[in-house]
Amino acid sequence: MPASVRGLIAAAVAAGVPAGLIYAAATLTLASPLLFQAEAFEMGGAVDHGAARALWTVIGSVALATAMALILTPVLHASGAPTLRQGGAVAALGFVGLILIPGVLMAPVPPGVAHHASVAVRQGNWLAAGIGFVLFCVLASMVCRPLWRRRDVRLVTLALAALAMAALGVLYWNGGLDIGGTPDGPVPEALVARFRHVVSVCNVLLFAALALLMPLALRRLAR
Amino acid sequence: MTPSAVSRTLSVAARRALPLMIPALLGLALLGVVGFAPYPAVHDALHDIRHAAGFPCH
Repeated sequence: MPASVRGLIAAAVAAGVPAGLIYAAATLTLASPLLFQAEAFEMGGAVDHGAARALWTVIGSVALATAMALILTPVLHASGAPTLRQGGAVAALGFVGLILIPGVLMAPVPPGVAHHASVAVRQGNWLAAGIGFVLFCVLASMVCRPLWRRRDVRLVTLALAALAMAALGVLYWNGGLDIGGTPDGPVPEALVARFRHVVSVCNVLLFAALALLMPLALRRLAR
Repeated sequence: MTPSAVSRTLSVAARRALPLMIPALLGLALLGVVGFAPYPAVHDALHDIRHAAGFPCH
């Protein structure tokens, strides 16, 4: 099923905007209060957080979700059938590559938590993790494709993938590997851990929304 | 396979890949702005979402 560039972009935007609004609602209700608490520790007092800040969070959420949808929609289209199952698999792949692996290497932290490594170094690590994951996926699909028709190979591969994902999830939930150096600062450890748990819920929500919306949008718009 | 058949195969592959590459590159560019753009105004505007999505912020 060939698709036009315009159709794919329209499908990605149609999936990304509502997913972004869901992500914004989750971030504003769950993560932002913790962010403000952390900033109060950082500044040593209450911080101003007006409506403009919330509006930028909504704009940023929609932009981020649209970016994710633009990256993942062509992958879903290339996979052949834009079913909900395929959508779930592609969204899970996106979650692992864009959130879980970078988060295991450098756990998400609220403001007021300092790292020993500079921002540029940590951004480089994030990009390297993403590129490494994409290369791994390409290699794995090349190796698995000839054998994918065999049911036993399929089951073993899926079981290994589920085990790897569970291991990464446990690592992420417990603070990850912190390759940028152990973070420290005036923010209490309990608040940092709660922030990490809450943003992981928000990010799972974002990719769950994308898993549902991308196949629907692709079927309607990418022709 | 003759050279002309190879070039025909490559051209078909490129024609199929291009519609998939353009949205993905657009998405990567947008992801770069949201997550990595170093300009202070962009950083301040997207600060909360960078922390929430786990991008290295400051």
